[in-house]
Amino acid sequence: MENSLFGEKKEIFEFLYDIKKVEPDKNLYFKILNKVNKQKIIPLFWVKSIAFLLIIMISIEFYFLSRQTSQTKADISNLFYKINTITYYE
Amino acid sequence: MTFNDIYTEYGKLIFNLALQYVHNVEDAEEITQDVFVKVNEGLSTFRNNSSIKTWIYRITIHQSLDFIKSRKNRKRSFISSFWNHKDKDFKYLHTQFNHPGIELEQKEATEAIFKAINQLSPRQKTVIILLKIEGKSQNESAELMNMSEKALESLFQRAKKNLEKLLNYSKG
Repeated sequence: MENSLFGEKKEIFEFLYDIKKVEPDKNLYFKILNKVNKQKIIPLFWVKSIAFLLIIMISIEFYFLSRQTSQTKADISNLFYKINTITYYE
Repeated sequence: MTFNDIYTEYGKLIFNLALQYVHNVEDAEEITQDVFVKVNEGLSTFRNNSSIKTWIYRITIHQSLDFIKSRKNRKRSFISSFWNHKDKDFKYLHTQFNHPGIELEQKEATEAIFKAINQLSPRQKTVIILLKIEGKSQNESAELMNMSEKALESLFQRAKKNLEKLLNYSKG
């Protein structure tokens, strides 16, 4: 049974043949240029994320450096202590 | 070829092809913008293995299918997060059928056909759009879809059969 919506047309595709090509809006080109230019700018989210990561990395670096310095100081004082002991027994 | 030349030459083609997928001016404009962003990114690396027209056609087809897919996903996730709400709450999510290339007296029938086309697989949808709306030859469509003419013909026959089934349509 033929679907009444399609009337006398024999083929479904006859409706599709009748579709006309349309002109896009005149402002479309400027919208495209805007979007293309926006792509060239790095989104603020990424800038913030990278800055945050850098701060974290620098903080970790400082933490390890300060730990290393205090450990070196302890090593030196140990050394002096040992030398003193040796001197005492001599 | 400059960016402006490409727009002058292919802008209308891209917009109209996108329009056949989404049947809505706003969505077709969005797809056209995204296609040109991709064209701009790829223009410097574009090699003349295929013609620029074929390249642009392929980008538009992929972009249109991606757009539909992402819209479906967005709709699904939104609906699942509010699953206990009634359907009427989501009516604003429905994209309005707004195809300026269709004459008013044929709008109802064509809208029904497009609704059925939307239920087909992406490849079946594409083959119908290329052959029956864009008026491409089998050879051109096969090249665009990267398949043999024989495979394209069988894909089209399957699409036609499914479409007729969906529309409950038989020749009078």
